[in-house]
Amino acid sequence: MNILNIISESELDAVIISLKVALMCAICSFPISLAIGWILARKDFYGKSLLDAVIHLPLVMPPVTVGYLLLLTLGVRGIIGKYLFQWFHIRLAFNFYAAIIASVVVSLPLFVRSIRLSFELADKGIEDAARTLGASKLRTFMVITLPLALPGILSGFILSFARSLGEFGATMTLAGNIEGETRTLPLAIYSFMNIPGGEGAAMRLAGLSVILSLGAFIVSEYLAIRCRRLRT
Amino acid sequence: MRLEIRSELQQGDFKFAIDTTITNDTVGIFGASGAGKSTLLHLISGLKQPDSGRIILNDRVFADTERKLFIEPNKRGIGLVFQDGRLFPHMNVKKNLLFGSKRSTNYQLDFNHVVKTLEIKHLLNRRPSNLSGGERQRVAIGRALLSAPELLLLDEPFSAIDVSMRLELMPFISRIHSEYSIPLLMISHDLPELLHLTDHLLIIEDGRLLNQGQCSNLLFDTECTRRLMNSGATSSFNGKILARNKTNGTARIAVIPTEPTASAPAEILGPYIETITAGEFVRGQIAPKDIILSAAPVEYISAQNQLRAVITRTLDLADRTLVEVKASGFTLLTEVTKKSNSDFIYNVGEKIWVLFKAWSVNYTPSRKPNYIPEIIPQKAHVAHNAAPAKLDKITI
Repeated sequence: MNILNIISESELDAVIISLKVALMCAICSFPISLAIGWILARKDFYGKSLLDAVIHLPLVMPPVTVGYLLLLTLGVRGIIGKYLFQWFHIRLAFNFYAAIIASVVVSLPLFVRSIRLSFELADKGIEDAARTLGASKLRTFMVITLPLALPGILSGFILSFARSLGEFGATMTLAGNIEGETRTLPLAIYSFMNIPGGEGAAMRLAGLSVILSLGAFIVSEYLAIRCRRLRT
Repeated sequence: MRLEIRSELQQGDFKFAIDTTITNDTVGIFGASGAGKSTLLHLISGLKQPDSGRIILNDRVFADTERKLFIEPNKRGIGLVFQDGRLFPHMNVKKNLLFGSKRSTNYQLDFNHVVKTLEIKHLLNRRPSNLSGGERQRVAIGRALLSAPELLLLDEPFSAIDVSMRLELMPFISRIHSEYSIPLLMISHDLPELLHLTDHLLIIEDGRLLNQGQCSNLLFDTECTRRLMNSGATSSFNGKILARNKTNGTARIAVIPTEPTASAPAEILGPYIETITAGEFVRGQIAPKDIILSAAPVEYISAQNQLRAVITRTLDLADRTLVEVKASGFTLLTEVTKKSNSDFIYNVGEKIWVLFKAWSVNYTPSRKPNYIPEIIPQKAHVAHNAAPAKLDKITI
């Protein structure tokens, strides 16, 4: 039996959009989180606590507020969005990209935290050893630091992916609930719940949501075990 | 080697300031924990940057704050073996060993030779987590060697290893210099451990250099005496096993003089050690408290060693007197109580007999000493218990 026979096209769309947004979110967050995580773990500078606080803000703020602030910033009439639209005709609200941006901002603290912790745990002394053996800073980072921090990076990636799958408030506010473009799984479930007779679809999507989240968790555990084996 | 270090560094409340030049090829850096020994090695290797001053190895300037010059650690060509080995946990032993071998230098060590010297061939495919403490340190030493350093720094390489293993590792360290002619600086807070390797010490205390030189000379520098005596300073010597006798449980050791001497080298009896065979070079130590001075040879005594010696130096301390004696170029140190000193009065130049048990001679395999003095043929003062040794340039 084909999966398409069980769920409708709009439900399938929601699943695909969710997966796309989640994957794009994790991929886009990776370099940003890597840089910020490394800076927070290894560098001391004026305003470090402020950067730390700003990065962690979305973790403690209601997602709708995050979305609203993003809209005020990136919307067509927003502080930055105004110019992006005027000069480059780039719209960063109420479209697919907006859904990714909302997810990135909301999941960033989790990704950064995970990478920062793994950098803090990776022994600085081992990097020193590599340096005295002739490795440049870049080679040391690529061959020593990064592999040692890999479990944290992978778990951060999965966390970011999973957080994006569950993202609702910020996405709804910044990207809207546009079927086929920004309607992710949680938004679709919410929409179906508000339509008379939509309970069946909501139930099916809720089930899928559980399976996806569980899948992400299993993959993350599997990778963590693989990494541990790799290191010992 | 010529290593000039003139550096100041403030780390919180701790101020490190040193100004010295090291010219000896094997130097032990001695000091209490927190004295600044590791800071010194980190400054030399470039892991720490001095606030002011300069560091020059031979003709290469590593750091000069006046000229705002600082060479990164990866470009210095200095090997550093850390106390905890610091092997890369995600690489096997072979990859660890080869990590630094890409460094472009003017010489290259043979991988197989290093692996053989350090006896780590059977470990090549293992992960660091599956190695014992001693194996890990051997790999760490091998890894540093294979990066072809101009200078090898050892930062308490045995501190994480149990005592029995230390004695096994010591020969590997002393072999480094003889096999590869790489100058080395080794840190330890264990004086006898350093004296197993070298006589030349650099004493660091509270972030500054107390003094540097031959241990036997430092002992008579009042600022260092107490520090060294309380840390178990010994009379150390290089020797060669002449013969062994398993039944007697003894080994005949010829002591290689440290300076030109008119007499044949002193010969002493040490305990029999199964693994150290005749013809091998050894490094030995005798604790000052194990040595008895006597005005005349003593008959019917269990001590196996009685050497004719001359008192060369004495130093009165608050509670005891240090007496240095020389027997055919073999310098021995002993400490006597104030009472003993007042009863006998030890005068410099006086002839005396030195007694100690074979069991007081503590020795391990070693390299061939760099310096073997010429022995001027003359009628010798010979050890009481043995025929004149045939040592010197003829047999070494």
